[in-house]
Amino acid sequence: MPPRASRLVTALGLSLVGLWWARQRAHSKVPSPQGRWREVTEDELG
Amino acid sequence: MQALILGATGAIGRTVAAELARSTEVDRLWLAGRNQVRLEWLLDVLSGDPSRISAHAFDLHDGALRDRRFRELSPDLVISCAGPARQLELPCARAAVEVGASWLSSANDHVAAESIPALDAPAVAAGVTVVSGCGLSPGLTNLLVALAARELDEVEEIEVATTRSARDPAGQAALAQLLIGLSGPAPSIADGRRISEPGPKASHLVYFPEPVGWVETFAGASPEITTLVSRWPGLRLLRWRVGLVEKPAMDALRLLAGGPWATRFANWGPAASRALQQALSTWPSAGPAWSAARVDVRGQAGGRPRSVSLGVVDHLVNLTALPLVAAATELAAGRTEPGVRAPERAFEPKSLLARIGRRGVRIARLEPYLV
Repeated sequence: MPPRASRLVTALGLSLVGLWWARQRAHSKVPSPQGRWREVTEDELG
Repeated sequence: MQALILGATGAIGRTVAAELARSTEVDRLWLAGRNQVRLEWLLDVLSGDPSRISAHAFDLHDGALRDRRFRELSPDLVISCAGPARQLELPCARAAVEVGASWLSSANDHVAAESIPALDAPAVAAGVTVVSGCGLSPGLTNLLVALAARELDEVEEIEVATTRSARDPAGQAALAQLLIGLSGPAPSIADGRRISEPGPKASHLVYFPEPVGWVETFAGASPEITTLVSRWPGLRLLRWRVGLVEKPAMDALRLLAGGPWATRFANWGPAASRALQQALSTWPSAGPAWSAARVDVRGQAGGRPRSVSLGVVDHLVNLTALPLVAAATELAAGRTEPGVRAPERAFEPKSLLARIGRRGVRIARLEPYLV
C-alpha cells in the first residue's frame, strides 16, 4: 500500500476508534436509576 | 348523555370515540371532523348502531357553521380532541356553553388556558362545567399533583415533566402543540415570583418510570403554570418541562422551535405536521416508543420536609385519551360543579385516577434509593 494511503487508512481507523470511545464516554455519563418506581395500587387510591 | 366529539378522526379522537361507543353512559354519540371519508371509515370501524352513533363533517374554523351545528345537535357534552387549541379552544368552548353543553378538551396551550376563565360566569349561568385541558398535560399531571399534595400539610414546590417518543404516534395536533410549547419563553414560578425562562436552552435530566428512564428535558410553556397556581397560590417553585426520549430528535425539534416560523407552525396545516411526524419517527431509537409524565411535589408533612414523586408511562394516545374518557363519564353522571374548573377541582383525583387505572393507565410512585 502506498505510504499516503496507509496514513489515510490509519487516520480513518484512529478516528473511528476515537468516535467509539467518545460515544462510550458520553453514554457512561447517564446517571444510575434514581429509585424504584412502584405501582400505586387501586386500594391505595381508595 | 349525548356527546359530541370534535376532532374525532385524529389519533386521540378515535380512541375517545371507541371508548365512549362502548360506554353505557353515552346514549348518543356524534363524531365531528373535517374529513368525510375518514369519518365514514371511523363509523364503519366502530360498527355502532346508526341511531346512536353518527358523523358530521364540518370545519371548526368556520364559526357560523360550527355554531349552527352545535345548535342543531344540542349535545349535553362537547369533547374536543381538535387543535390547534390557541385558535379553537375559546371560541368552541364558548359555542358549547351557549347551547347548554359542558366542555371537555385535551387543550394544552398556555395562552388558550389563560382566556378560558372568561367563560366561568356564562358556564355557571348555563349550569354547565368547562374543563379545559384534561388530557395528559394538563389533565393527568394535575390529578397526580393533587394526589401527591394530599400527603403534605403544605405544598411549596411543584415540578411537572413529560416526555414522549418521536416514534409514538399521537397525531399532528399534538406535535404542532409540542413545537408551539417549546417556542418562545417558558413561564414558571421561582422564588415565589412568576418569571419567563428562555425556552428550550438549559437541559435537565428527569428520571421517568421504566422503561423510559432518564430523558433530557427543557423548559416549555403549559397551562399547569396557570391552573396549579390558582389552586396553590403560595408556591415557591413551579416548573414544567418536556423532552423527547430520542435525544437527536429533541435537538432537531429545539432547532426548529428556535426559528421565527415555529409559532406559525400550527397554521401550516396537517401536511406539514404529518411531514414532521414522519421525519421524527425515522430517528433510530434505542428504546421502546413509550411516553411518560412525572410530577414532583415538595413541601412539609408533620413539620418535616417531604417530597412525593408520581409518574405514568404508556403510549401517548392512551395517556391523553383515557383521562378524557374517564372525565366524560364523570361529567355524564352530573357530579361536577358548574363553571370553569381545572381537572383537580372538577373531579375527585383519587376516584378519577382509579377510573383511569381500570382502563389500563397505572400510576407509579418513585421510591428513591437511599445513598
